[in-house]
Amino acid sequence: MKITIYRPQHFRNLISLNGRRSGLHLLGALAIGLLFSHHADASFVGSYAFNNFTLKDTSTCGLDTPNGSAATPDNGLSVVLTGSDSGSGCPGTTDLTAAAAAAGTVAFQYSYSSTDLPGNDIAGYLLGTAFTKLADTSGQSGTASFAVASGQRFGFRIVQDNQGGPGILSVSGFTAPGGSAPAVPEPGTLSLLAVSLGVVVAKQLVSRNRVNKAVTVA
Amino acid sequence: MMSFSRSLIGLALGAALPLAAQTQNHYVGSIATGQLTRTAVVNLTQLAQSQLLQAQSVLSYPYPEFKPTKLFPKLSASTIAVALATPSMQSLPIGVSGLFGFNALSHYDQRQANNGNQFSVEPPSPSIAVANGYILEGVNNAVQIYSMTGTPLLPKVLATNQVFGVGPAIDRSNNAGTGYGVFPTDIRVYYDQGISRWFVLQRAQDEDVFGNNLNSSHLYIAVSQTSDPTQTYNVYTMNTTDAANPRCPCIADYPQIGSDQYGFFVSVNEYDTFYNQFVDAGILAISKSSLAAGSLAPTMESFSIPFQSGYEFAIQPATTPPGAVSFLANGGGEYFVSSQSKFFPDNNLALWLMSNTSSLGGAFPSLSLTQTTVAALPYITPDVAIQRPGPLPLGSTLGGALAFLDGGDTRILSVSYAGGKLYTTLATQVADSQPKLLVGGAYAIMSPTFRSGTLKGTALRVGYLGVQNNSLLRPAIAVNAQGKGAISFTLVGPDYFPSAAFIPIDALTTGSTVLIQAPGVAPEDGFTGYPPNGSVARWGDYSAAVAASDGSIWMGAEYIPNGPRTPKANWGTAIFRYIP
Repeated sequence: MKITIYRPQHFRNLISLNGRRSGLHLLGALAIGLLFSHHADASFVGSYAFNNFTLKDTSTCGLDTPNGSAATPDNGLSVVLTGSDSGSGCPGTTDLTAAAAAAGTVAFQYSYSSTDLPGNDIAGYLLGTAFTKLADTSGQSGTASFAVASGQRFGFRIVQDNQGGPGILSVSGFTAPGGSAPAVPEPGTLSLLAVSLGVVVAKQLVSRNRVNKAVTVA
Repeated sequence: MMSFSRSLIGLALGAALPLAAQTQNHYVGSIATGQLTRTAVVNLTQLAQSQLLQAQSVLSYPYPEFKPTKLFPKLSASTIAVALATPSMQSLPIGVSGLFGFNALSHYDQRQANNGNQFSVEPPSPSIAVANGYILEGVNNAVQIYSMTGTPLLPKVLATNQVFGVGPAIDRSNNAGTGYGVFPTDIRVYYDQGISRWFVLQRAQDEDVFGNNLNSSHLYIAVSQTSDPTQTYNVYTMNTTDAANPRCPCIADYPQIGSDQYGFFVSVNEYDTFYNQFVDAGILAISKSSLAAGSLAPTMESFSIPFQSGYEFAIQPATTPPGAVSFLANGGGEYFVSSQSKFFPDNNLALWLMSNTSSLGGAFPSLSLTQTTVAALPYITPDVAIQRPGPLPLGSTLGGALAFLDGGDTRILSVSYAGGKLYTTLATQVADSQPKLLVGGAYAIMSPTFRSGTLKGTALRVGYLGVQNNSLLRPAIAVNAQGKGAISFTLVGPDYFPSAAFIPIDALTTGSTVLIQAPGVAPEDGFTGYPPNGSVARWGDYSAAVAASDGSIWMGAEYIPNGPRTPKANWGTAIFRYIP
């Protein structure tokens, strides 16, 4: 689910709303923040935590030792899938897949890079065993979405020839059913949100008291 | 008899391709099975133990202390605009490594091997192989096997003559003047992880019992019967005279070792025996399975590469570290890299691929060799290196001054293939900030591809290695399966006696400091640097670097140790380990 308010910057943003704003303004800003944070924070957490994905390399050569890899450079906000480039010259695939936690729509943004010439490595997504090509030329990017059934495996794939440099697929803004759902925070998230709101309201009250005292003194 | 096939087909076949296409040159070989035959079986431990029972020979009369200096196989090359072309480099600071290492074979060890029935030899051409808890080191012309802590495992250093089952280089107990035997040189050792076998390789020009050179030559390859380097080896011999070549009889100089999944490759430079003129390059592709099985006549195909563009010289085969994979498509393939030897300066490297190497598993191999060029970085033949002054026990007796050290040429010195990248090194002249012309190193990390019969390469990262006011000699690179490794070399100059040093490197970064592993304690003081041999001492011709199965990098380099020497030379080697 959402990790928005675990992020220090967001937390600072929340508590920086000072008492000069009205409570309505405060709540409105929080709501807007939550809405906007949906795009920035959709990520590989919860059911789709990076560790819940499976990395698998295949090669048409039995002696090959493919070296595809995957990583999340930003604690789950995005995932980078790097295709194998073992040097064998043998065609193969590097997959990063997970099971859908629920039926619904998977959506994400992607960008593709490679030092190899266009067409020698191909990046795309997997739905079951069906592969859909997204990019084969360095610099290509876009968005993609598709429907999954509950329990169905899906993910990302690099199709490669294990030479000339790997294909690299970066995926961000990832949302999937039963995973990141912006309108329905998890209980833990709600608790933290409540704490945050409490802090802000308390500061608001303190601020008001100071104002009131000032008025009194004046 | 050696019979290199001489076929060059289809120069510039890439002409119809887009402008950016790299020209393709194709070569075909000929089946040479039967030319390399098993001639002996030796057990190194037994040989070394038998040495313990023999008294050390001290007689040298009537024989000289050393053979004529090793062949100096540089090609004549244009040096036009050398100063203008010399690349300037960012001088690296120098530090101390603190790594584990030990003193390995020295000139003293080499000369005393085989009960002293050896010549004094310079340079050592150090070579190492590491696996299974063993380190095999070879120098001209002796071997020792060490544990991983540097303990010698053979009770005596062996001459390679013993390893190859031939008589001593010189029988110093023979007072009739007829004690000359085989004089092997240009040693290479290797461990092949695919077949778990150790290799010792050398070449020799034949001579009569009086020491006169004959117009014939041989290649010797010892292959262990097991994964234990201290035990029994099958010895293979090949006549490399190439008498069918109108420009020969020849010697197969500068033999270099590489391997892929299926083949064991030896590249050579053919020089004629009369004038020591370069004739052409050759590559032998030998079935690894045949060698592992101890076949009497391993399956083999030979290639002869005529000297045309200048890249057909010292074609260095690639080695693949443990855990990495060689090129497997197109029936398997072995990459090679060479540099320009004809026209200087240059900034291209030649990339070669020998494909369909899996056919070496059958009786009728049909390999194909393709070559193209890759834009890399400017390089130019280096001049000599200057030494820090110091005591010269030999030089003072010969009237010689402090010798220069041979800076070598720009031939490719090492090639490692890991993760689809070729890591390679060569020597080049460089200029520091003064600018002062120095001997430095160059490296290139390339991405090769072979698709639909077209060989291409891209230089991903290139760079120079150099230090202020001093030189780096004979850079050798090795990387592990993750592409992390190091480059070993000798550091020498006005500020340093010849010292073993290295620098870490990987696919993306190069270390910021040259690290001294074994500081030299004196100048090189060997016979090749004094009259009548001139004023430039032989050095190298290599450094050594290999990756072990645990990902560590073992290196070896020539330096001047604080240890026993002979009256004729004082070189030694250091072996050390770097963990990336």
